Amino acid sequence: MGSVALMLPLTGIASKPRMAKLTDRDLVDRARNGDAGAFGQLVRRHQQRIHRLAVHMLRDRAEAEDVTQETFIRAYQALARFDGRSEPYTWFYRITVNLSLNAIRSRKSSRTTSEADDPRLEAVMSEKRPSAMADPPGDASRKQLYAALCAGIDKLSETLRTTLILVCIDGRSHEEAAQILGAPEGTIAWRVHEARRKLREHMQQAGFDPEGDAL
Amino acid sequence: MSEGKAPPRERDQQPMGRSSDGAGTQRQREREPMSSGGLDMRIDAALGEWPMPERSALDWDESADRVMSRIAAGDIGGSAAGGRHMGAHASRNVSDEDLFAAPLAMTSEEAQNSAAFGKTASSGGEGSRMAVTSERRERRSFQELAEMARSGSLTPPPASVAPKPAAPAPAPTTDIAAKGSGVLDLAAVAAADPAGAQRAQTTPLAASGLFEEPSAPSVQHAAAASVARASAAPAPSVPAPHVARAVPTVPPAEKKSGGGVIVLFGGLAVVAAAAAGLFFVVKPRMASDANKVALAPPPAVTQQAPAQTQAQPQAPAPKTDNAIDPTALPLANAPTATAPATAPFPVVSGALPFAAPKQAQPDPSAQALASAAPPATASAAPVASAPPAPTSSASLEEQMRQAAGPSTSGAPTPTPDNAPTQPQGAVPMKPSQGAVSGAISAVMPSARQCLGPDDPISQASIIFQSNGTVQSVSITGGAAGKPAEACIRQALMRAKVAPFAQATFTAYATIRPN
Repeated sequence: MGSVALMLPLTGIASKPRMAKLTDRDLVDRARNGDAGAFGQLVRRHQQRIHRLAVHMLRDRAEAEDVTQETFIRAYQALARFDGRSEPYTWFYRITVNLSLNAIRSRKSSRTTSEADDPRLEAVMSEKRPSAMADPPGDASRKQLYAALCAGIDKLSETLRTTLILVCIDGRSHEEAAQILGAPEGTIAWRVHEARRKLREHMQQAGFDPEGDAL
Repeated sequence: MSEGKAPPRERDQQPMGRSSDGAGTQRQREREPMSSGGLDMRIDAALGEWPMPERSALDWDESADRVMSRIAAGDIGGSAAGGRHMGAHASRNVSDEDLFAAPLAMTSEEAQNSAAFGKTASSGGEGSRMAVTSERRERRSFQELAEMARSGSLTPPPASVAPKPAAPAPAPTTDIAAKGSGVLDLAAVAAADPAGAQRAQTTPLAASGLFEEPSAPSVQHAAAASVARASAAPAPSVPAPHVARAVPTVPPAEKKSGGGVIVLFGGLAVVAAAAAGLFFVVKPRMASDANKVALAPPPAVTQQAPAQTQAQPQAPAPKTDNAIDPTALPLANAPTATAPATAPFPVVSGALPFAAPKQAQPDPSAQALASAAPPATASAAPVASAPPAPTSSASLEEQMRQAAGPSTSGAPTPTPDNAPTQPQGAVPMKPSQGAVSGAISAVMPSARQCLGPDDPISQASIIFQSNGTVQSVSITGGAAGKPAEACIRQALMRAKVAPFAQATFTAYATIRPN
């Protein structure tokens, strides 16, 4: 055990707890100095949210995988350009948004996804509750709600949709979204407001009760 | 590790090294629904808890290992799996500049729409962030615009490309100045330059009475007193350096002279406006007068035209008491007007006298002019002596030919019976006044020779006959009953005028001794 314990610090597994205490800036500094493991820690730390963002942006699981990987690769290559004025994750977000928008604009035609192959609805459709908490009518309503939300979000403009994803779905603050998108916070607030308004109108047109409170 | 469903989300775990002081509260505030509507709450809740497919930690580790392996292998652009989906070229086409640029910066439309939102949603967290500060809109105050205008750069380049000018030494400003409202505090200006008023009073324009107010002389003193009070006041809110910028560098004299020029041009503009107004007021009146003058002669024509139009409807009407026998009318006087109307209809009602007599009976002034007409015009007189209109048995062509023929072939002079009432073509009804004066003046010298230097004035009444010669002369006055009467009568009998239509024409003359 002792030898194992002595050997652990020499391995990557043993170094994880120690590196987990490091901030993103520390990891970036280490990665700049050639510590690939530090950058790997950054990838593991942020790849889930980057992947979530890519899925909502691209509405395609495979493309989201590509963009996620590409984001970190391009970020690693451009570590020298990171000036440290912002948080590294906002930098990753910006790269992801740019790559996603570029992929969307590179599509030869606008892609229409059905509810079955929409990665955003994959978890909702496959959601299964324990039998004790079974609520078939509620589950159906929930699926219907998210399907309508997906349709409403897809009708939004590129700007409004991206801002809505960042703020309302991914939970970024207006300040963070402003840093990511390069727009003033007031503009972010207006975009969110507009996106919500249009989304509400869409939902009402889809038959959802404006005063209903059941999810 | 599984991402699973939303709660708890990583956004609430503060995984990025950010302090949990403001960000979490901010997110909660920003997630509050806009309204209390149930649908809004449902939407916000659904968006915030959007589930993602569960994925094991091993899967995430494998994904991270793939990234790191590609980095280690130097694989640039396009993932091993992604090459077939996204396309390696699609990623490689994105340059670094585009990759790190602001993806969705603010547009001009958003700049206006988002003005109301301001920074109410800002968290007030850490310092500058990426391009936000650089993208932030720079607002220029009126004061800055005024400075640019004064410096000649009226069209400055956009703030994004224009280098910021080297600002003067920063000076504490008033609240108004800080807001850049453009309000100019005159009291502060006066306080900054107390001697300005005195300098202005020494300018030539001031000497010419520019600042004088004769009607209210006390006002000037009051204003000066107020300025003095303002200058004496501490004026803490307006420091001198700021006012020095506000006070123009132009000397007061130049400023006032510029004001004088403006007043001069303003006066000229007022005069021009008054002249234009007078012109537009007078012109319609002149135009109306001109219209009256121009419309005065045509009544004969305007009366004639309706008469012609009325002639045809009235022509078939039965003969009335007012009807005139066309045989008694000279058709030649108005061949074009009367012939068509009278020819088809032997008996014409009172409509015809409207058309023809208008030309047949000229006004007295026209008679006077006609008397002076040359004799050659008398050759046209046969026109008036055209034969009477034929009866209904004659065709239209014959009547036209008869009506037009004699006018060109010549005809005997009108008889004295018709002369007084009917136009005689070129022959005037009576001799003109000029012709009479000329004829009398021609014989007057010989008549005067009949009188001696001391003889009294005599009056002569000369009666011309239609051929223009003198029919008789009657003498009254001093020469009457004297031998000079016969001498004067003999002299005046040699006077002669052009023939005229009337039977006789009487003229009067005064014979004075030489």
